[in-house]
Amino acid sequence: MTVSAVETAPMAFNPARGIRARLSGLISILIAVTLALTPFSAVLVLGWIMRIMRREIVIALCRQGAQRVKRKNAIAHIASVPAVAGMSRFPGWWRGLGETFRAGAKATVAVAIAVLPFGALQLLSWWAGWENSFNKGYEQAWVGPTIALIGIFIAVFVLMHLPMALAHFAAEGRIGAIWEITHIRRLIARTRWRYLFLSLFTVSLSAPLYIGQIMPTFIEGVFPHLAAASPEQLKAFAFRWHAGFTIYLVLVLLVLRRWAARLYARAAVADGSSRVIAMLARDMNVKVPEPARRPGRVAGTLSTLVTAAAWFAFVAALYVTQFANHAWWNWLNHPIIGLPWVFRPY
Amino acid sequence: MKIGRRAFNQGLTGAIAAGIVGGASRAARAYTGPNVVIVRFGGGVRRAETIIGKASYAPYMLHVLAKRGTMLPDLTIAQLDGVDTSHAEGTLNILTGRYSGYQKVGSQGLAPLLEPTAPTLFEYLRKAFDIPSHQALLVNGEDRPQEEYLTYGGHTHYGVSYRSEVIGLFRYKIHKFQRILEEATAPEDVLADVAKQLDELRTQDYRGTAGRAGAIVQRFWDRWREEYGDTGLKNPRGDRLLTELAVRALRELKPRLMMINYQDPDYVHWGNASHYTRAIGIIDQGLKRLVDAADLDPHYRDRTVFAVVPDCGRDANALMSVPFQHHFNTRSSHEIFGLFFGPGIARNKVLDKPVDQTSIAATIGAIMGFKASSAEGPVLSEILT
Repeated sequence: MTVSAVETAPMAFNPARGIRARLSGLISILIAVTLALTPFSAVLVLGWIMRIMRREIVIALCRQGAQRVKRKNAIAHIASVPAVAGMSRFPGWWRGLGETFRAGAKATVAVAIAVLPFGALQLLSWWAGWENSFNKGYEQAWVGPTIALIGIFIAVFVLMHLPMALAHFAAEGRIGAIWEITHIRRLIARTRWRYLFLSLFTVSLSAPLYIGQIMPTFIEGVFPHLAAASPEQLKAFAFRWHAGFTIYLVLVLLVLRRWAARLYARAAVADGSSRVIAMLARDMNVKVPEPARRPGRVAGTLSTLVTAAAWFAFVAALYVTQFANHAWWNWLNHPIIGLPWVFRPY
Repeated sequence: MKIGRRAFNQGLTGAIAAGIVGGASRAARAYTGPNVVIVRFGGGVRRAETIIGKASYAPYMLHVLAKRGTMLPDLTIAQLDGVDTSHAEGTLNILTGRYSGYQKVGSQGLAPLLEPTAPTLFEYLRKAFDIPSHQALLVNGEDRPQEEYLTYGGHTHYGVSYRSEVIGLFRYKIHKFQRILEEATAPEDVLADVAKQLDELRTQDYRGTAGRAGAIVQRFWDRWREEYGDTGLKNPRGDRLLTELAVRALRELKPRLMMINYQDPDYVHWGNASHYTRAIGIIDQGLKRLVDAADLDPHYRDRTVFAVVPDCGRDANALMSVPFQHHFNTRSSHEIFGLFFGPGIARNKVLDKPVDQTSIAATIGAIMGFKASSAEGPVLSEILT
């Protein structure tokens, strides 16, 4: 059956099934929130999000086809194609746990390869720079700031590509996919303004997480009773605080990663160079449009500069946050783009 | 030498009779009381790492010096509206004995420039007794030029005539650049660069007192320059520099009242916890050097009272990776400690009651024989023998 046939076929509406699906989705999200409370189980959440991204890419590809269809019809079509039928359902936790773990482990390695080099430089420059400043090492005072600047430059470069790189990784399922910079840059160029908005939203939605890290610094001013709280009361407060921001993180990631996946599908269709996309289109009997004309240079440069500025703001906010409430781990992981785990000291 | 309550009362009565309290006229009495060294155990140090428990990052202070005097384990900064737990503020609480004894007159970067509005201990002392400015000394660190300006207040009857002299690298740099320009032996481009740097330093000196050191202090800096040169790389650094300056000042300037503003524990603001604990240890070792220097010098031996007190505490925030990273007006940042030792101070005693930071100025005034009339806190008569 072609997609257009699905579009014209009558869709049977089953309210009970719809409620069950929503309930199941809600339970999956709650489980994800619970697993995102520790760094080890957060690997599973990352895998779960990658599966969701892959599903979203397939749905978007189906909808991006020449015969543009509604989302529910695209899902119905996917369910009818044996090669991708498993992706018609929202990824849960009961089935495919092994696949989730494999996807999570691979994604963790891929993200670590992308993020750790600049994270390590930033951590090292912060530690060594202030260590040197404490010792008044005027002779080598340039070392810390220089390493920091190199780290910031690499961070901005990597982060501005990472949302698309993660989508590419989700589609391809290969760790190496995250380093296919030329291909990723080409995909970004195909969706430049949409990708810019995704970047701006990603950076903006990271603000509450930064605030969640800064706020404990002033917590006694906000909740004066904590000055006299017992360790148990503090632990309970810390748990509620952590859980609240973890809920926010998981919900935001669901929005941002699916958005990135849809952009990826759009870009891949417009670019016409992705082997996996071509294979999926063939499997699903989706007729994709001809590759679009490449965008102009001026607009491309402008959108690149604004995207870079947005991610520079992200990095600058990290420095401000670390000054307010320092934690070594937070140089190495950025929950909104890396392992979905908010650092909790207590 | 002992300065008991009776002696203090007699001294104070004499001072009132001489008309020196209230600032009627400048007294010319020679000072015969004890020398006082105030050690600001800063910037921002908690009880937890210093005086609580047997194991301490400041073992010399806790196990050796405490036996020579009276410990104040429950010294606090009052929780009042407008009272901030920070360095210049805490230093002025100690120096003026008032919580609101200052006004903000500007800022240098993020640091506020605070100017005392009440007389400082230096002003009280120099007005009451004939003591030259270089014997009322403030020893400052190189990272806080804003603390250069705590030397005198804007009180009608006190002020610049009774200010303290400041010893610190900021002052040394001004002296060094002035000397290089006077010598005029360096190449022209070097001289031009020096003149430029001197102008920049002077722009930070909004009160214009930094380049007006007396001849004795200028000789002090000349000797320093002979030993350490012009590079700034050969002298001790950080809080060890403050100890070196203070020990030299004891030897060469013979101050009667000296305050040393240690500051490096405050590096923990950047998140390296070991900076805090290591800096406490460095101050503890600095205390040992200072006390040893005083014990070996006849001018100071048995004639010197030490007062050790932090400018403020630090947070005890369990929700942070480094619970003591800041001092943002939390309960813990109001909780500090104090230690007095020397002649006239009760030995091996713990004053186990709440004491206010504003009592430090009043008590030092009592020890030195003047009344810190603007101080809010009472004299700690229990620590005097």
